[in-house]
Amino acid sequence: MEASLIGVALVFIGAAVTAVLGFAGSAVGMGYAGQAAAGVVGEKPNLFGKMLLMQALPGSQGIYGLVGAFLILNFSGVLGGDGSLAIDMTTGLQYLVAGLPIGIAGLVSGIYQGIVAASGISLIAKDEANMGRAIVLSVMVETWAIFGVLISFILLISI
Amino acid sequence: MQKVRVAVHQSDVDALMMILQRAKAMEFRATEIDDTVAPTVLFPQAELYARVHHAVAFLKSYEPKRSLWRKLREGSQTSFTEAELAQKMSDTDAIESVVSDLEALQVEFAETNEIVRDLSEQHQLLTEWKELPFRLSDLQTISTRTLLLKSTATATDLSESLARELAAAEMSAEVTVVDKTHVALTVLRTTSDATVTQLIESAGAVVSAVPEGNETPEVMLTAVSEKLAKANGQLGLLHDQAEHFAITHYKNLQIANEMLAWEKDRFMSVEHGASTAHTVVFDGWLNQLKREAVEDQIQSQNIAAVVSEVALEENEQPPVDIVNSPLVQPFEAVTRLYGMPGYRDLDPTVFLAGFFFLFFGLSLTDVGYGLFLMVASVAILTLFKVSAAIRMFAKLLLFVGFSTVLVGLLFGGYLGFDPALLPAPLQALQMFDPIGDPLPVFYLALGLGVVQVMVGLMVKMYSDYKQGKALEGVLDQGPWLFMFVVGILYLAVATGYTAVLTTGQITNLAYVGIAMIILSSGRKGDTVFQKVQNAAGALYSSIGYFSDILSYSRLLALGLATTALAFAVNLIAEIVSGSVPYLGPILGFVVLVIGHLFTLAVNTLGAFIHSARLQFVEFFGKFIEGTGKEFSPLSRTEKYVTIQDE
Repeated sequence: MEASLIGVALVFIGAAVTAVLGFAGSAVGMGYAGQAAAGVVGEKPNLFGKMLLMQALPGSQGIYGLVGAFLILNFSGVLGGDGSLAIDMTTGLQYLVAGLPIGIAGLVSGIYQGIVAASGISLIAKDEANMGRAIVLSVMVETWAIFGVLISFILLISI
Repeated sequence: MQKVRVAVHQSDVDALMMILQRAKAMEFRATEIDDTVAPTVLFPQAELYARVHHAVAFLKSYEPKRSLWRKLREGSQTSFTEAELAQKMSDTDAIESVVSDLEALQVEFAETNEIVRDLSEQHQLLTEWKELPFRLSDLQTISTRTLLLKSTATATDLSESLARELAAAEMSAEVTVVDKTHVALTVLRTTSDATVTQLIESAGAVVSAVPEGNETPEVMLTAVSEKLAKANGQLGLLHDQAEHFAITHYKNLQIANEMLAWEKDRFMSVEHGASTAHTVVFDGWLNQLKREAVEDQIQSQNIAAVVSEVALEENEQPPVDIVNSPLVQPFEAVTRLYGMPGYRDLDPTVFLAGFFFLFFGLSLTDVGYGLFLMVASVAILTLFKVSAAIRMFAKLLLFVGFSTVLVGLLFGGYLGFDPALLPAPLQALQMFDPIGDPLPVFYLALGLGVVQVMVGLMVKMYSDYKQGKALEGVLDQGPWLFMFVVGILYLAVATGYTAVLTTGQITNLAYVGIAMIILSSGRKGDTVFQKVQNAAGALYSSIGYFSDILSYSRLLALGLATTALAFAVNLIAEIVSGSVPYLGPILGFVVLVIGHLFTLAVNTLGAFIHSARLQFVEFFGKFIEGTGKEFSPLSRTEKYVTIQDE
């Protein structure tokens, strides 16, 4: 296979891995939060809005994964290019590695944010006034996904 | 909210409660005063309320059926003026008479139901023993008794098994096979019960209940069937009567139920008071904006009541209410989703409204979806009679739909179709291409983040000023705002947008900013160590600002997701349309409609939740310090009734 094609393939893998790791983190995290939320809504249906928001919090990692994938595809010229793309293997590998901070930080923080959100949900179930506190505790975990976005972005503009 | 104590003469308690309930002015709390007793509370309509409540619950299933369109058009509430309501409530005798008639109907219903149940059971048993060749009165004679047996196997097997057991026990009895699974066993009265039971058990049979009556089951079945049909007919008539009752009285009973519930709430509130020989005293929270109106009412109705303000105790937190202009009011739904701000905090609704409006549009980014939301909300507001809460939500939907259209025009989002297919004037409006060139949108999202975080800091300064801590506000937020301005200046110079200062000068300004942050945060703390710790903490919080701003990148992703999904729906519809002969275009159209409705639903939800999240986490965190308890005054809950202004 030509080196330029391997480079393009590596960019594709990079974008796919970045997005999928983020999606997986959010899926597991929202799953945890959703389970807890469903339990609370069964007892207190009027809390549905608040529960929905708490469940959505670990969804950010998936969104960051999507942002990362788009940025990789755009920076590498796959999106918006004229189709005659030539990326050497080293550059392709750089794009793949650049996506990993978002992907891995998104996967792990998504899962743990979901666990904290689930605990926050029981906090809100005890007293609705705890909504703000529950959000803040859960969002603390997300900080690391955001730093993942930052490092990925710096890596991408450094290529 | 004002913490108040209201003293009222015993005879005027209900009149005062009526005023407070109508004005939604006061939340009651337990009143604790020495040498007082709990007021005597006797809700005179307690019995009637329970009966009306029960009647409404009973008639609910007989409510005239209406199509969804009619339900939406007509709504579930009836509007009345205060005078009309007073008139309705004055005639409790009429309500009582209607409830009594309904109760009589319910009794008849219960009796007929009981008859139908009994007859059904008999019918089932008689059907089971329909083939029995004996008259039922002959099952018990002076010398014999006949037991009806059911077999788990076939009747023939059971019959043979019984014959074997009888021969072994040398007993005299007669076995009659009735049908495939039923057998009649006639034994002599002289045979003991224990012997018979053992015989039946050994044969593996079960004793059946015996149908009532004298004739053969077949004859009895005809008679019971007739009775059952008659009872069912009676039940049908009662059902018709209940439906007629519902048409005539259901609405009035609902209204009476609601008004009695209001009255009950007033009496429940009285329980919070403390009573002396002639007066009742109530402690609570009064909405100060309504105090004047309440006092005017007290005076005009000659009520012997005095409202006096009480000082707050240390760390006591009054409940919180939020009031906004009609334009901002729909956005209160977002604030309420988070919960009430602390009572010392500013109401964040007015500050978040503009950002929420913009962020929602950026998250949905599509002219088509925006128009759909606008049309749907206008339909709800103009064609349908819905509750006040839904009307408010429809207004919010109208606003954010409009925002989505505006942003969609700028981003070229037209249900996933290529903007190049559109007329030139529309193409000229497009300023961003989120899929082909996402970076400008990414920077726009982060830029909006910077603006909102800066506004958050300014709101905090204003909040501090309102609380008499203006200097503190300037010292705490000022250095950070300065740093943001320096950062913006740096970017403007670095990108060649302006050249008012050199990058070196800006770097020096940044050092000044850092020094200001260290000094302003270091002023807090008693010891040198604490001051250093505070300064270090403040510098560390710069990471927090950084992560806050990066979080706004979600606006790009959500907008992209809408466009990508809409594009995918169009692609699938096109494939379906071309791949199935004849029916293809119809199926393609169905896929298009369902697909876009699904995309709209999913992305609208995402846009709402994430736009709200940016307010709660990144924005509120800058200026909201506490969490408040929502003001919950004595009021009239409007479920079936809406009260018109006279």
